[in-house]
Amino acid sequence: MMEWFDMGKYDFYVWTSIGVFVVGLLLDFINCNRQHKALRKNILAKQQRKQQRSQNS
Amino acid sequence: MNRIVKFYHELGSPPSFYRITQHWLKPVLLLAVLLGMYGLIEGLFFAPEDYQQGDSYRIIFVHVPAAWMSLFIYLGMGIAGIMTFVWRMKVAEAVMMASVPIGALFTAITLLTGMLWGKPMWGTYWDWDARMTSELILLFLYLGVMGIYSAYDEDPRKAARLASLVAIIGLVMLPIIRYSVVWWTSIHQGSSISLMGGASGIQDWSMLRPLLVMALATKFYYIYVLLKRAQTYLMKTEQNKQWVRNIVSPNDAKEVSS
Repeated sequence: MMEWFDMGKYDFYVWTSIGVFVVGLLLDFINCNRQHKALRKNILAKQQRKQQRSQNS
Repeated sequence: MNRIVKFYHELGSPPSFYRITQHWLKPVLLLAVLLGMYGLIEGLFFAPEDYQQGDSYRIIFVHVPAAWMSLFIYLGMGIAGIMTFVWRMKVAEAVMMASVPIGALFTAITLLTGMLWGKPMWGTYWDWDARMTSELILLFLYLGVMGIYSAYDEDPRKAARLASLVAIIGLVMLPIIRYSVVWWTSIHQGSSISLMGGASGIQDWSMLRPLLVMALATKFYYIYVLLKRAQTYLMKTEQNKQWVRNIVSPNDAKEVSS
């Protein structure tokens, strides 16, 4: 099994590069979706506050 | 032709853009993940070893697609910048600003993986070589567009117009980066593939296939985050409009109140 991950004497360079690529894109994906969800919640909260204010007045 | 023109005009309207692109997100993401997994597994475990560079050349399967994307995204951002500056299209603004983070990320990945490839091959992580320096300038351009937009946070439309100027001016960097290894003496290797079928670059199909698959995977991932971020941008800038209110579903009301 370890033979598959053996990159000659270049293990560190190859696997760090793959790590940078995968982790970078994964964090970007999480960040992108989190921003979208947070904005939706924010807009909805604003709408609800507006509605409550108009009902109270 | 009429249909294409109609589709173009539909995409130019924020509510239609949101509605149309909403259906594309999942398939595009699925394609990106599947192709990415296939490309990485084949490139890392099944592609033959390079006769000169040994296994270190496998960095190519992430480095080169990221480098292509850094240029491709900037080109898209520049074109969207022209549309923003000349026609003041809101969707073009959204596409331009949505391209910035992912373009900067691919440029940073290109630089980092290039450094990791450079150390075993050239004996150094960094050299002020034409290709590396021009790619670093590209990263600064992405950061510049982001910075200018953030500086005028109170007026997003004005901010986008100013940011589009930087994006348009920066387009001049693209041919410089592309031909830097031809125009100047460089320790960086030449093109990885030759479109004209010349003798330069990778010739072996079993090496070329995972590289092209990874290039496709990164394109699909870019489309996914571009659409998602453009949707977020449009929702943010049009949050007082009725179409945004309609999108925010009653299901979310429970989440907020809980």
